[in-house]
Amino acid sequence: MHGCICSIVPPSIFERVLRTGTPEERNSAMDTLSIDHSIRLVRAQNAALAAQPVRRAVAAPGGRGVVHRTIYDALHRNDQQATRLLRDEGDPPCPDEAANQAYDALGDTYRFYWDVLTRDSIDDAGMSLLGEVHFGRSYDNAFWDGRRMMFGDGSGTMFTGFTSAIEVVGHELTHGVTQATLNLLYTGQSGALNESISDVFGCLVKQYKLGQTADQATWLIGEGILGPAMRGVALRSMKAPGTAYEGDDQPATMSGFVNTTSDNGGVHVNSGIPNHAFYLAATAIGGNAWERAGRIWYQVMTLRAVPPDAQFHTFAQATLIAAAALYGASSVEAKAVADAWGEVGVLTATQMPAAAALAR
Amino acid sequence: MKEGVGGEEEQLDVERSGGFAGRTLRVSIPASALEPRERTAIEQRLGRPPSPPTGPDRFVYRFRLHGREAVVQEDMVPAELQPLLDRLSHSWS
Repeated sequence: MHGCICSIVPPSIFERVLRTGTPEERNSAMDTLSIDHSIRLVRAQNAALAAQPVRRAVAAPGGRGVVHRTIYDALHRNDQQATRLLRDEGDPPCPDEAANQAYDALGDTYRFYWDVLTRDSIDDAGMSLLGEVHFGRSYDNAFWDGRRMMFGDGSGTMFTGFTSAIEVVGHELTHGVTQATLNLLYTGQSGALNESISDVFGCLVKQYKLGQTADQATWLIGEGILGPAMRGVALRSMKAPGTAYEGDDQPATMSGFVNTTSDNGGVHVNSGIPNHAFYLAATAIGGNAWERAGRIWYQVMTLRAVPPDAQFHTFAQATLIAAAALYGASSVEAKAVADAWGEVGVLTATQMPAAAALAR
Repeated sequence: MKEGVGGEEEQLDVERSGGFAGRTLRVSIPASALEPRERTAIEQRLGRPPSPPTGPDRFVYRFRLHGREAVVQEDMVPAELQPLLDRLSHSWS
């Protein structure tokens, strides 16, 4: 029904309802917009991915478990055409600090995926890790372009650079892993899950590097990269979403879910909810977060246990099934995961998979 | 000078959302400050369906003019609008 309405009603009408309607009207409008968009987005994202497949850009020598990194200088261009080599695998440090930071952080991220999850790079087939530093001019951003990780220098006012925070590099590389596994649509709840998975594994890369247990970790994303115009300690907090900096509007639970058409449907805002669920599960399980909580989330990814347009509750149920499969339906781990999704309001008691299903 | 409803000067509202930080920032400028080719590039895109996401952590721009809007992913911004975004780069709030 919604799909039929969508074909004749201009999106602007729904946008207006989102801004001024009652909560019920806003939910209905969001559902309608989501259905309409999802059809186009599935087609568009598949087309984009077909044009930029995750592939080994350079054959990594040495067999499985051997990293190959190449860092380029974007020469402050933003057309992704720069090719000046700064540092290749095995080269000694170069005079460019950002290049060395990116090189080291990519190495740490690769090592995490190999040591902990036995994943051989982004595609699990030894894909070379390509990074470009000095992207754009005063560019306040870092992103994964489907083949490479691009890092701006920051404006110096909002951000001071992106290569110094290992969790940022881990976040971007994990977007590649998600692209190669779940291929989550980058919009709405599936987009927020895509973002959350990058935050989760970005944090785990850092915790593994520092040898921190779940209780010892800060659970902050973007620590140390804020410029003087940003008052806070980081960009996001998985422990306490919405508290990382002045203006941080991430919700921790579904009661604060943000309906918006900005940022591809609030992918960086609502990621606070699954982020907090992971934090709750990891701290309830205790010990090193990468050993059990991380493995549960990773199992969902590698088994492709949810579709590209997965919603929060679909992903949550998949983590419950993964926890039960790995550790048992009555395990501490399964209970911690169930409690976490319940606490953030994603799963109610009636939405928990039946014990019989978990035990299978 | 072109005036909007109520005799006030018409404004171009620009929103930048997304990016790794996910911050939504905005800026408004008088439409009269636009170069002709910039105005044309925006007007040609008003009312079009939003361009779909082209990749994670990219910026998304929303231009509002004449009560209508255009949503454009960062890497789909036409070359004609790049100078405008450069001029706005220190005005976001």
